[in-house]
Amino acid sequence: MKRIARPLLAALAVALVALALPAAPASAASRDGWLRLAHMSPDTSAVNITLSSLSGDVTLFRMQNVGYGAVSEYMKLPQGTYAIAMVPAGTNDPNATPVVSGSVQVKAGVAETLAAIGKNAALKTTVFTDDLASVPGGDARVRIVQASVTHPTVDVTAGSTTVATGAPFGDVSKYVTVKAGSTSIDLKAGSKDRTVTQQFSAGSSHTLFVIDDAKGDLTISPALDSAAATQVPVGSLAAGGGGLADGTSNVALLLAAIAAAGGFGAMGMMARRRGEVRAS
Amino acid sequence: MGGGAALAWGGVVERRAAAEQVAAEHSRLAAMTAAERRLARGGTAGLQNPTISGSQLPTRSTATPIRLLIPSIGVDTGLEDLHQDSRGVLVAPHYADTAGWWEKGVVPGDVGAAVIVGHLDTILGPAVFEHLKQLRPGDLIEIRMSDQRTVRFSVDGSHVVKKALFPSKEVYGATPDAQLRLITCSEPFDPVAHSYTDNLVVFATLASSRTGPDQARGR
Repeated sequence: MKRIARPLLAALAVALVALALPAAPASAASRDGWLRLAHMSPDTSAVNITLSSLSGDVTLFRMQNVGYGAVSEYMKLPQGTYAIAMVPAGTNDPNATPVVSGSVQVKAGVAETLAAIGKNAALKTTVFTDDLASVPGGDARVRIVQASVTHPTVDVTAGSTTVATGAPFGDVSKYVTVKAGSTSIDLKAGSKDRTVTQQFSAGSSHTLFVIDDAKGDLTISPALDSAAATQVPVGSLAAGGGGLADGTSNVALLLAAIAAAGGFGAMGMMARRRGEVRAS
Repeated sequence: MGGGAALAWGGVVERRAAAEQVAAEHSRLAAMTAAERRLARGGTAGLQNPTISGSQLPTRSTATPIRLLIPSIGVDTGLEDLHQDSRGVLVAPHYADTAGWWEKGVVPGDVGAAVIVGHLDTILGPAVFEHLKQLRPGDLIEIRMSDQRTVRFSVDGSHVVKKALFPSKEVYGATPDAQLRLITCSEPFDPVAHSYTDNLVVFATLASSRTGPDQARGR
């Protein structure tokens, strides 16, 4: 009897341990990164964009009719290298000459932008990393990408804060911290001066693409890079009372007994209320 | 002889005509390819005005989450608003059977990480997030909003973290897309402190985008 029971118990214990073992923490999106696409070529019509595996076999994302000035939302992608192609929108020919084609690398935990900039005849792509830093309190962060094809260098201020001075074509400025809210953005190129108003929400980072309008005047196309709550709670969460835990049955049972003795009303209250017994 | 001269002359004429034709074709082709190339490359005659979509600078949603549904683990609960205590610590929901949304944080569906907390258990037994640890990548999380929208998230994974080493940056930090965190307690339980020593954090990302690009996920 005992000889049989022992291995059985052992097997049972192994099975229980296996059940109790927490699943290997599927690390949260740790191998994913983000990519977004921007069309900033002022004399290129709307394009269709496809993002595919490097072999070209599997299309992962397709965006139709992306016009000049547009910035896509972020695509979340496993880290790796992807093929990208932009063809004129309305072209049904799958072998149409791409306006732009190439490859782009997505890195884990990193957000990046691929922008097509320059005039159609000299179109090029540029890739840069976007901000995921936290922004304190009521502030926002902002930077510019100088993509104007008619102004060789541009000065940009947001409110009274200088964002870029003498930024050449293709330049990506550093982020600067500005007060959140409605902010006037001053765009200067030589004697030309243009002011636009931009809304920045607290806790978020923004990229302003400095581009040309149909008259060749400076304007911007804004994009939200990242956002977070403006306050970060301190520390961890106390969200358990121990009723499911081993080795606490004494306390739980005692309290349950007290609650039961106090009547169903008290028990109901104990069950529904966040009890005082829960520490930290 | 004369015939030979005529033939030779004819040959010269033919060759000259052919050369002229080739030259014409060349210049025509050159002109055509230039035009075609521009057309093929989607070039326009002049500069255009930019078109900027509303999703490029989204405004913060004024809607609030009112109900949380996680079909795979049978969660269907109302949501209360969570607040911080005087020390800045986020206080867990009042009721064991209701989850809570941190209302100073991010609205679910907005860019950033929205935070929802629920109890694992009370001293008496299981609570709303009893089965949270069973969530697996790809599981669906639905949030009903006060403006009738339903925002859907897909589980990315989960982390069990020591409360003393709570990863505030990963949980509350800036994200480039709309994400969600579900938080509860996790074993082991410290009987002396009457408290679990760990937190379980489930990470999820927005699955159905309202104004997103035409997403053809072909895997």
